[in-house]
Amino acid sequence: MFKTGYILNPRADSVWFLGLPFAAVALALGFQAWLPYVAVASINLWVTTPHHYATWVRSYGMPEVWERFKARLIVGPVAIFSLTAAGLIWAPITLLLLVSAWDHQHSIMQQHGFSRVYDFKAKTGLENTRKYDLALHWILYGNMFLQAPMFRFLWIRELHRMQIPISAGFVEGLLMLSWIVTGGYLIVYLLHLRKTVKAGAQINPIKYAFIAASYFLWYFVAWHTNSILLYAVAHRVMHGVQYMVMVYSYMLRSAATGASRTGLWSRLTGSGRLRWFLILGGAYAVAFQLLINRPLDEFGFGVVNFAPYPAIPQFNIPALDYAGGYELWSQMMLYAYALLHYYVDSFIWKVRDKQVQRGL
Amino acid sequence: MAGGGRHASRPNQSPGPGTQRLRAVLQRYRILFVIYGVGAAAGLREFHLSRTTEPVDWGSDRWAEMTSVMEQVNPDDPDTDFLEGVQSIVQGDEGGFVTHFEEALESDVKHNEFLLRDYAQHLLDSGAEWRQVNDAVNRWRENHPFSSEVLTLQLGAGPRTQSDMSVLNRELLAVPWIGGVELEQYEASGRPTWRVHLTFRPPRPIDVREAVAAVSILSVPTEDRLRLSVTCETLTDCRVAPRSNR
Repeated sequence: MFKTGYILNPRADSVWFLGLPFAAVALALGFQAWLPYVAVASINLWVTTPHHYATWVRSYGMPEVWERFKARLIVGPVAIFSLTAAGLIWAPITLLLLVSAWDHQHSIMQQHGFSRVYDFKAKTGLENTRKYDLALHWILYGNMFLQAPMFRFLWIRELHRMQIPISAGFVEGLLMLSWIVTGGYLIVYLLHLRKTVKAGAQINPIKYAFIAASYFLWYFVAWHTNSILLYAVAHRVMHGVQYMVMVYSYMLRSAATGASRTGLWSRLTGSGRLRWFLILGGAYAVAFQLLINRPLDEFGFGVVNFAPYPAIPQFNIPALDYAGGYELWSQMMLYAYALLHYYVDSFIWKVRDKQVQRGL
Repeated sequence: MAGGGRHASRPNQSPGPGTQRLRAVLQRYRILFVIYGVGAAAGLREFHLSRTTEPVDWGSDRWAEMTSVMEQVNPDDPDTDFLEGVQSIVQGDEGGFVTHFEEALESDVKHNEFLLRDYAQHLLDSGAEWRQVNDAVNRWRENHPFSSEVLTLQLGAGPRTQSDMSVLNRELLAVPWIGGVELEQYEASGRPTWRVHLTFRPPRPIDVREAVAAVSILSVPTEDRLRLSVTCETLTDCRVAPRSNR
């Protein structure tokens, strides 16, 4: 009846896929108790932005993927950037809702994808189990989205802003319907499991432990909190870390089996190279933060700060605000790069140097 | 679509190369078509409504309806208390505003910047005790240190000359936590009045008494302003003393 299978291995799965949601909730509760709200921006920088970078390595950095999906990898960014710019100008509320809706769909699909990997690895479930699993994820997540006070507030507000007024009676009816659908579907899903066993197929209990852990996180933080901080931290830690673990494990296996030609990905994969994968992720987050002109202090969880340049009364220099400090920092970078160029040129171009002569 | 019309009557024919190519494109980009198709429909509606109707914002009937729905379906949410507080302000009910905002703040809300800022501003405007004002302002800025929202200080008579403006700017910018200053003149009860909008230099701890002391320099005679400075024990109890020679 049961057959276990793991995405990575029992130990790694228990850390990254089964234990992480609980650790993420504990971390978020600690954040809620002791850190200011700006810590959410820090989690974005330490986890969410680097998890985007992992996508770029897994797509643009793997030659087979690039060649296979070349058109989509070129057309996609052009279309998405253009339509986002258009949305900002002509339909900003719609753009916000679209980003939010796609984010939720993406979160559902990632957990569904991991569930599929569990069945794939253990060779469990029936041919149509994937459809039942997909519906299970949509219904469980959808129910949370409709019911949880934090999300309820958002969708009721946005519907009103979109001039789609809904009454309290309608909302209450919808919430009751959502519980009925969820309860009903859980019965349907149990019947599917019974059918699976009767058909001689097996069930991977680790998949269900993973699904339970994921929904524990979502339901707990969406109900438990008076603040978006708790949800934002816990969800982003689970989503981002699990994604990066999956990408790196996929690249490791691709390297071990020779499944992909060498490229950027292979330079970041293998013994001793994990640190470079992570360092590049951090560098990407720093570069992205500078590109959008946000303070680097946001890396500091509201605890570590380095924005202010204090006044230097001896030189009659007033203290600088963030914008002024950023200008000073930019000027320092211009000077420092120029000075570095002068310094390096001072020793690499000696014409009397035999090695230089060979290149002339 | 080459040849599509010629073989249209045959039921089991395979589609022409043009149709196949179109299907392939639709299949390949289906997620973009679905998401942006829905987005385009919603966006066109929003675009049309934005040009034909009033926006749903504070003070509008629809916003009031939304607040009423929230009160019924989400009564314990601090964001609902915030909406109710704003609705009280719209209706001119100062007491209701304070009650709802304080209820929301009791639940240790950190994410709602407008709640934190508006409450701090209210305490300052209503002449609350200086420790309360400092706590509220620091709570706001600790959670949202890089926000460009401002704290506004009423000046009463305000600067009378260019020299007054210069000295006011100088004194305010010398306060460690003040990052920027914008003076504004406006009409109140038919007479010109001044206020100053302050931006912040994170992550300095904020003591609003320092800003009050800085603007109080205008009460010092012009000829004594280089020699004397103002320090404040509370938001109203300020004293003039010789500047320390540092």
